[in-house]
Amino acid sequence: MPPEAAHQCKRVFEYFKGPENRQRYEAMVHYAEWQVRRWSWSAGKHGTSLPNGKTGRDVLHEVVADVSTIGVGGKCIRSFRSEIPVEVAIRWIINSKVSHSFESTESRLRSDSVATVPGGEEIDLMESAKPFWNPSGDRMSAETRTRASERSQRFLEFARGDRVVYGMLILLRDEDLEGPAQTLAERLGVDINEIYTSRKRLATLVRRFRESGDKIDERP
Amino acid sequence: MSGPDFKSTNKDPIRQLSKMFDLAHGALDSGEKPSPGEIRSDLTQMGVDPDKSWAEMQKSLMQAEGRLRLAEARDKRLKAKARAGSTAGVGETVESLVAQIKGLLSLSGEAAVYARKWENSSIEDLKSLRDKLARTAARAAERKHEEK
Repeated sequence: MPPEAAHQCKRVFEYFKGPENRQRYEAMVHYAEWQVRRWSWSAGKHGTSLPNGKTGRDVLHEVVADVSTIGVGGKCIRSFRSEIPVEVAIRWIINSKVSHSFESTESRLRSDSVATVPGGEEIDLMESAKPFWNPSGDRMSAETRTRASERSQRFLEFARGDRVVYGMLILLRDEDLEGPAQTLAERLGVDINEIYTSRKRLATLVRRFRESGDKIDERP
Repeated sequence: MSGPDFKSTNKDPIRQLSKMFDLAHGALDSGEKPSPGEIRSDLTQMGVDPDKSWAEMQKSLMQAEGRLRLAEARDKRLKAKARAGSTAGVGETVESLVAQIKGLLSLSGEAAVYARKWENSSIEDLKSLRDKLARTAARAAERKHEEK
């Protein structure tokens, strides 16, 4: 067994094991659950799990098992470089699994974490400092894009009653302006604290909209 | 408030939805990370039982740790055996091999199966039997360790 494999396993054990690391674990479950909901929302779907039925928690447990189990050939089932912090590696892999799950159901399966960066160079995202990939239409079917487009328009209508929230959504849609909060506050002519509270209201609106099954009539 | 421009654009709707979600949940400003209390409360709302989930993770980590320790012990033993093997044959006689075989058989309780006149066997056959019994004994010891 290569010493790097045992070293990786031990790093993962140290990261999560014991009551002193419980908050780390809960933050990671939270992250995984949000990733699943983010992708599901973005693909215009209603569930809170992956297309294969797994929840964020299931994904995290699977990832931890993969990075801390020696597989065939004496390597960890999933390896990452020793200089990458455990937290970052696990988030990458969660993101990879979640995105892969949605994209593969779209018959646009990516077999691994290799991506082409501007300039045409192919890189393995696990081997780089590149950020996670985000939901986008280029790897989804036309049907999903249509469904997402409808959801986006309906949600804008749903949020129209909240002046600041609606303003933020329009800036996002038309100018791709998503932050920072200070810029949003200046553009909308409100105090920065109003942006923070508006984001919370936006989160509530997203939840209500999803729970209503995307029905505009049930807007607050 | 200066009103935003309401012109329509033809952007990727999936990306737009994703950004709306991030905007709602503070993914853009790391300073807005939820507190441990908010996380626990969120998890419960999401239908995750944090206590049960944590206990399951700890159990699975303990099992993984046990498997790793076992693999490391196996590695160590194999390396030691390989080192010993490099000097095998030097000074080994029929008598010393028979003594080792009898010792191993007493561990496995299979003496009756292998009962025979060892002294009439070739030294190669005896070495082969000794190695086979040693492997069986090592596997039995591993199983016993795993059961613990």
